[in-house]
Amino acid sequence: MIKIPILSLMIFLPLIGSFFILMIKQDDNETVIRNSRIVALVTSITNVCISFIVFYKFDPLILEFQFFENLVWIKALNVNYCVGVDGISLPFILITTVLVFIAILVSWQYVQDHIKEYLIAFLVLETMILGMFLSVDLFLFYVFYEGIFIPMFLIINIWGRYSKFIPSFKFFIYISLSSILLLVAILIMYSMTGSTNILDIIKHNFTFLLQILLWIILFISFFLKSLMWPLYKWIFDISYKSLIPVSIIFVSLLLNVWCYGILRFLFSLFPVVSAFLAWFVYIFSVIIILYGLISIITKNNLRIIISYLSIIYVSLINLGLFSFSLEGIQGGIILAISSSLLLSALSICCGIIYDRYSTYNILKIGRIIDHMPNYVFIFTFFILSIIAFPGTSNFIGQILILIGIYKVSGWLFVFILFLIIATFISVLIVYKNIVFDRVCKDEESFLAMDLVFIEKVILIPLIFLILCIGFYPKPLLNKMKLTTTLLVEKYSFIYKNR
Amino acid sequence: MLNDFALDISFCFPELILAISSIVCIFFGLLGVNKLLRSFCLLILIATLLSIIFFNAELEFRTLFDGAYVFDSFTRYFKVVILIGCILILFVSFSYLDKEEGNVSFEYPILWLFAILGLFIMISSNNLIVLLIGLELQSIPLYVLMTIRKEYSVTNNVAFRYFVFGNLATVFILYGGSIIYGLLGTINFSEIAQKLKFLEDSSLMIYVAALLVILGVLFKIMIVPFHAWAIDICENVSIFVVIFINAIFPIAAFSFLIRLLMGPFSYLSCSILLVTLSSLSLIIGSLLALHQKYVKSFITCGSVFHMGYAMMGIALESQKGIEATMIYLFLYMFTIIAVFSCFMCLSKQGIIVKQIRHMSGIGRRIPFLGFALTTFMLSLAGIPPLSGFLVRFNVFVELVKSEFYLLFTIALLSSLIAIIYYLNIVRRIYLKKPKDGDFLLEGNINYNAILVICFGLLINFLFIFFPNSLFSLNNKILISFFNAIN
Repeated sequence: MIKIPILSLMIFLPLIGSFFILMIKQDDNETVIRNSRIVALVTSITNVCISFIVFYKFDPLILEFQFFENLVWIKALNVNYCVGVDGISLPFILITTVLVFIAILVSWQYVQDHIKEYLIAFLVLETMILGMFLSVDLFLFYVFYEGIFIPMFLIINIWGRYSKFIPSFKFFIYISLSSILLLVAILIMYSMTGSTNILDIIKHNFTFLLQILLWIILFISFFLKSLMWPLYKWIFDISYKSLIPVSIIFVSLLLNVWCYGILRFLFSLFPVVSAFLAWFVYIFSVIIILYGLISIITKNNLRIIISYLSIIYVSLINLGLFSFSLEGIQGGIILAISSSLLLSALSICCGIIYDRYSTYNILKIGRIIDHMPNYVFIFTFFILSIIAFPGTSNFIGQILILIGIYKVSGWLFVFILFLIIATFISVLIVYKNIVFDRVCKDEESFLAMDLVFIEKVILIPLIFLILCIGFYPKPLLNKMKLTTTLLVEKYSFIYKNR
Repeated sequence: MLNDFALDISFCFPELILAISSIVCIFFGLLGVNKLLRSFCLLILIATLLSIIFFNAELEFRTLFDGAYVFDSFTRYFKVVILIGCILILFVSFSYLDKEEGNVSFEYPILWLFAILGLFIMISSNNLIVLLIGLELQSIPLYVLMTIRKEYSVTNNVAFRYFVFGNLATVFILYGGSIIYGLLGTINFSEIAQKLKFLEDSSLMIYVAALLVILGVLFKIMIVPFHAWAIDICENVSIFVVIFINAIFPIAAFSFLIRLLMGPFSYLSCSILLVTLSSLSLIIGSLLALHQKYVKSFITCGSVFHMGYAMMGIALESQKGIEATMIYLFLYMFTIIAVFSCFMCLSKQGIIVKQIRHMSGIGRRIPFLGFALTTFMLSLAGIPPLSGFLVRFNVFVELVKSEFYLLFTIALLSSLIAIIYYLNIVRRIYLKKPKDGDFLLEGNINYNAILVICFGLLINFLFIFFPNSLFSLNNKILISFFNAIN
């Protein structure tokens, strides 16, 4: 059996694809646009297939990194090109490849200008994010982590360009700060252990003060890089002309980066400090959920509601991950995956509504069930997913997270349950407003077009995936099980005291 | 004794080739065959390069001419690097000069040959007098070269200012050197090292004299108190003088500085001085470059910033630190030469691009130049995975290991500022459109420049994927250098 470097193939294939697109001559011809879209589509479908092959062949009973590749890179600095998959990175590479595939599909309908830049940006982003998830060496991780900067810069600059320059300048400051903080953390760890390999650093014992310092630096770095801090302001700054699917898919990708960063760095390397500082994350997440809930109740703009939903999901994931129980961590990962899918789907639905009605205001959108029955069917499915209806992947994720939170504290469990139910109710009210409520008497004169073929093509795979994970999450949970169990065992000292 | 002399001369083969051929070229030039002369000068440089690489290749440290001149792998390495840089620059200059037949006198490339010869003598000198010969031989052609292009009307003014500053540097070195001679009784660096090692009462004058010599050398590197001359003159002189000032002179000056600091002045710890100067260069260089609107002064201010980085490696006074500096300078030189070649491709009616804002939208019209400029700007900004980041990471690792935490913080923060202005160029060439009525640049197909750009890209990408050969080469050279000194 020839040993194909399948992980390197998966990482660099989008880069090669984007290079091909770059070489297509710059004309404003229809064939050029179609060619570049086809190249991008072929590349992303191939990558999805490769990631599913990796998923299939991943052995859930092996502890170490699988599909391991280790090449000597810079001998003088003891830095190697080291990539591998383990139970934590596996779900994330799946969701990344699927999300980029969806993003490229979205470009068919929604992106009309700057198509080449859009496709190149998302493909390069895929390379960098996959490289981040798969690298075992910290230097390589930093290379890919910083490499996210350029496609982000492109995406925000081009598709946020109708807004003022200020968002992209602030964004630049946050991203650079996060890169520098991560560089500081890597250099400290390197100088203490003499190697940049994660496997070596896990074995090293840092002093407690140094652990706290490194934890805080890494936390802030990942927090800023995933655009969590300016997210709440930034995503609302983008004006009405920018594309909601683009921004939300982009945000979902970064959400996965955040989860992976927490799991791989904060939890694996510094378990004691994570347990020590978990209260801070808890308070923060609960406040954010409350804030998101109140905003959803008071706002009428569908775009903003989806953005606040994404914030609520992030906080739920945080709560689940920082409960340090097996269910919590697994639930966090599953919710990360499913909420990425769900938010992308919702943003596309939102884009469809904007396309037909030219407004995001839910009070102005009339009774769409009369005109767009197919769309309502699909939209209902996604709303049910938000509500964590059993059978959708959100249900699995949220149930597991709630079990995890219950293990932390019963009162917190009740409070979060209340908040989640309140969120569901407000989402259902939004749904009712859009789908069923009449706006004015002579509604029937306005006929909106039902779903086009391309929109069905985009949305149906998402439905399929959400149902798949919802009804049969066992393969995914099985493959994650060993690694997450070992991760949770580091935190067994918490449960001894309970 | 004649035998000794003949043996010693045989080690100086490269310098001999340069010297004799330059003089022959002067006579040739009177025949009026300018193009042929330029190609001949390029051939001379290539011959010198080959002679350094292949002649006397295995021999270690050796002093020639009774201790006046040094021959070892360290000086050979730097001479090779400088020669490769000069060959690239001369190669690029040909197509540019070919268009200006009447305006350039034939001495143009010959003066460069003399300047390179002066640099060689300066690098290999083991003796204060020989150092001075090298310095003068290298500065005087430069004074002339500044005035040789008549297209700039303010040239004489500018050249006079540089003349004054350059002489200031020479005066520092001369004065410091004479004080050292007065106190120690010898001009030979190895003997100075010996005497300073056993000096019982290190008087203040020795420190002052050493400081003067070091400051005179620092002048060439464009470190902070001495950066003003470069920024002052760079707008008003020919682009090739600017390339030399940015790329070639700092390398030669650094090699000599390393030999000084590890040789004669190793018992006087200059670490604090170098740390202060490098941190000031980092801050001031990055802040200056933020406001530049003209291309040449932009790159020159960036050079001040990068020289601060290179200086940090020397300030650590460890072998690894100096290795980091050497690798940094190697890559920096190639990147800068390639960047200027990119600029030379953008011209209108024979005038090379002057202002940064005229470069708007170049990336879309000329994709190759856009790609090349983006790679080089990102490499200079220090964005992974490009080579600029690797060399900076190397320097950072040494800083953290030697626990220079304040310097490390300053370096990080100033590189944050540096990212802003280098990315600004990338943003401008891709995302901005030229305003109507603006100076629209045409990309001229300048094959020489494109070859040099490709060479620069090749070096960058080769270094990303196969960095080990450069690291191990520098390691070997420095090990033999330190063995020879101790």
